Amino acid sequence: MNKTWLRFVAFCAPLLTTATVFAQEGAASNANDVGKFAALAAGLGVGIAAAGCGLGQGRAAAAALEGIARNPGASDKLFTPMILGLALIESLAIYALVVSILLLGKIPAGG
Amino acid sequence: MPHGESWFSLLPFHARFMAFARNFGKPFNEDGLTWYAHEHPGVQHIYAALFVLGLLAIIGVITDTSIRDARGDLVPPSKLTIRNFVELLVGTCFRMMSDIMGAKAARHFLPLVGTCAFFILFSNALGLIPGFLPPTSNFNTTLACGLVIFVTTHIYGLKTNGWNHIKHFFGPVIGWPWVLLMILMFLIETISHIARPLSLGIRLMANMTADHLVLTIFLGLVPFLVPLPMYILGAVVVVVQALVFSLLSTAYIGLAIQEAEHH
Repeated sequence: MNKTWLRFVAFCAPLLTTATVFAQEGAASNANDVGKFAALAAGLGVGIAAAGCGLGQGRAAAAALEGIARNPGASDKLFTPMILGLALIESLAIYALVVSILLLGKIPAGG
Repeated sequence: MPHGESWFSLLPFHARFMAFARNFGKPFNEDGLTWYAHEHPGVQHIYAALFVLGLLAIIGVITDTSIRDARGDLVPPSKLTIRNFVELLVGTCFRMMSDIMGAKAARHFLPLVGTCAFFILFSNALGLIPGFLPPTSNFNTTLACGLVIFVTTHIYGLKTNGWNHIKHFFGPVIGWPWVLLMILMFLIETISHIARPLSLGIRLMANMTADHLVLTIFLGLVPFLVPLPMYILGAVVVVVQALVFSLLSTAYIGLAIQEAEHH
């Protein structure tokens, strides 16, 4: 037997044995699985949405600040559109927050 | 104060009204729980909304009676009175609406959007007072405001443009060779139009709920000075959300009634 074949067998052996162990765990109830995935999704959802919202709002604020730096007298006129843009971008992250709150209700107590 | 309760629980008829509300919801859901959050429906937002409406009515009456003579009362008083505050807000509303819709349409829709702006501003601000729950933190209130704007948009769009209002749903090209494109555009436009009141409602509701939740958590952690930045942020969010709701509803109404000119 050459070494490559030996290494391949050694790699596959744990995969084949652990499959039976996982099969036993998979026969558990379904409600706990939904709760686990719901908890994971609730956390990750808001995290990813917050990352996207941060990027978007950073661009909006950077554009407004650059406009104010070029023309400090226009800062009053730039303020309202900047706040409006920030609120609209933030509302996308808030939709994700609403979905997360709905998912939090799906986690069974103690699960 | 437990989550979901406010000072309005001390009203004398609260227990009977709460029992009435729970029995009222029973035919619509099996166990009396709401369908979206599976909790008992609360009535605190009803009390708070009625309180804010009563406050707005009182402020309106005070402002109206303080302007008796159209010529003599033209110059506003120099201090901060209710009349000055209301004039400031109404003037700002009117200026922002004229920028979007033009002065004539802005004057026509100022009662609707101005009332929305006032109501949402006062309702949001009510939540900053410890022990009160903002009525706009409940999806029912905000969805009601959004649906009113939605119905207004379509009724005035149909009234101004008639068939053109529906023709815009079908997309850029209309004709038998493009039937598939028309159907696709109709679906997309319908979903986009339905998403507008929903997004108006959800944005306001989620902002207020998140704000109230953050304030509750901070007040539970360190009640002394640490919640102060959260209160400042809360005050900013209160004004900004009222502004965003009014501006977006103005933009939607303006879009619906302005289509006649650009053909």
